[in-house]
Amino acid sequence: MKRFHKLLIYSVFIVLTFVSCQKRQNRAKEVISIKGSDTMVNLTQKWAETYMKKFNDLSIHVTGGGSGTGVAALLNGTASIANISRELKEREYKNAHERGIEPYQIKVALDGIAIIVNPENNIDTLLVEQVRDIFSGKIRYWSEVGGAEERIVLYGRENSSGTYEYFKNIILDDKDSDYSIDFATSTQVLQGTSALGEAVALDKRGIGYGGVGYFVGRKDLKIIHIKEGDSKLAVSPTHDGELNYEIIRNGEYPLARYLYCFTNGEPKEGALKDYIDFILSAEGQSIVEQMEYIPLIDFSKDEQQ
Amino acid sequence: MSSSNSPYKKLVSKRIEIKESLIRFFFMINGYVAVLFLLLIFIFLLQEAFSVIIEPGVEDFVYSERTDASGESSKVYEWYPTSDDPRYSLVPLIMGSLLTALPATIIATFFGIILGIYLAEIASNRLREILKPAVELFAGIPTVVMGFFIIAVGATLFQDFFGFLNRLNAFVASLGLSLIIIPIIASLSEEAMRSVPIQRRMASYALGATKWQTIIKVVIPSALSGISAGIILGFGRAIGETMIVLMATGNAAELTFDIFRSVRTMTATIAAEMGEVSQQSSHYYALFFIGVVLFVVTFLLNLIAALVLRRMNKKAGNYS
Repeated sequence: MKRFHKLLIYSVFIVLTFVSCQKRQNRAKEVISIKGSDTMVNLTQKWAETYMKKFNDLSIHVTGGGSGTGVAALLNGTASIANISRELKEREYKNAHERGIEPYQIKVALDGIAIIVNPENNIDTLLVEQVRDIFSGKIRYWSEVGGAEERIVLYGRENSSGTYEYFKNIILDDKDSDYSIDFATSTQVLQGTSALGEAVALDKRGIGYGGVGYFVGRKDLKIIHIKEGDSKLAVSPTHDGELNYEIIRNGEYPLARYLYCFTNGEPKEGALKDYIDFILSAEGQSIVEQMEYIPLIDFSKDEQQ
Repeated sequence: MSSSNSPYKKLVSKRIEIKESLIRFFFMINGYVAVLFLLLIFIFLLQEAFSVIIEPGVEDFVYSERTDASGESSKVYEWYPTSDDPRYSLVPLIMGSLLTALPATIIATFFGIILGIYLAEIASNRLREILKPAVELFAGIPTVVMGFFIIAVGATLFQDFFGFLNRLNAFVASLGLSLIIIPIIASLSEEAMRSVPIQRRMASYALGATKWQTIIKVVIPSALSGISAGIILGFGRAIGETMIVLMATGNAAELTFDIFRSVRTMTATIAAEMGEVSQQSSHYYALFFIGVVLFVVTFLLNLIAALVLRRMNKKAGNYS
């Protein structure tokens, strides 16, 4: 009799387990997983939140990790959308084709890279060449660029970061020769742009770089003006503690870039396409502006018209 | 017992026998699985790392030839796995691991042995019963918490007092590491000292030695192999520790001998880059190669410690 009771209880449990599984399967939401750039993680989360409020039957998972993670996720097929804050390299395209993946590139926003120092630093303006020499380790003292008699302490991102790649391509690499310059070995590596901001805020000898959205309006950081040549004007991506959209969009600021979403093949229908259409819509782009990036649509012009 | 050879009893004993042998088999399997997994992990690591030895070549893990802008070629020891001109030298990473693990071991040896002496020789039984579990509990603090503590409190404190060039540096990380390995060294030295036979202490006191003299001249020399096993195990733990060094070293892959500069260890490199590397690339295999180096180093250290401990137990057995 006792045995029978036990059996009964067990079978009830097993049946219940199966029933509960079934129910969950029926209710399962459609899932879009997005992986990649740390620079874009805040923005993507905001997009996802807004979009999920509108469509209850959809769930969007956002994870960062760097553009390299995005590329790896795209190639290994572990994400529906890869956030990448730079263009794909030739060998990455080749690698993808070998695996039967067709990367499809969508421009979703603009971003400016700011060079930051501690507010105690008396330097306001740097030439592009000076920035190159500082980050490649040729200039080692602030006094060499007109600052205090102090060593320069470099802060950078890990080598999977899109910001790292972009900064290296635009600033460090010599366009005339094929010679590739790397960041100085003494560059301290930080995981993420906000960690980098914290480190520079604590170090009066420090200098770093990152998406301007993370630094704008912060009192404990100073954004450097950049000059492309002695005759040119020094430009800053911000103006009075606010983003200077004009200068980034018209290309006057040398360190502006597009942010991309990559999918495997062009999304033609279904939840993925609807989501991407939403990002590119006026509502999606107004979120871009809200999050201190530069939208693809010029809202100020629309108001004037 | 009249019922001992009844067929019913036989049946029961047979059933019990089968049951027991099954249980024994189950326990045995569990024992062997541990060894099997260790072997499988090592084979897996070797297999993945072997590809790299074919492609970039072993000497690439030491240095690479590089021509600078003026056309002069020189040997460089640099870790730039994602550069257009990739360089895979492990020298700065190994140096980074040593620069954090060695000072940590030295600091922890000093404090660990002192703590061990206090626990084994000086503290009263009641106090020891409170202190020893507390020390062991300390070893169980999650290393990420320790790392957080050391960068939030330690790094700022040292920066304010000494004004090092790098706020996060090898020294700060080694302080954090030493907190993790002090309990290991302390509890192993305590056990070693407690296993020294009481007769030796008595003989020492009988010759007129003070307590201090007895500890230094009699107890510590007798317990030396146990203490050194503790130090070796602690060093192995410091080499293999990841979270504290990832958080507190600053992670600059620079070849330096200055303990107050930022360094990058082997473990931190794997942790920071493994998630982002595309599979089957040279960079991916290079990370596996670091894994093999780490595995071999910690395996050897553990082996040495085990041998030393065995020798100590044998010796103790002979005397008592």
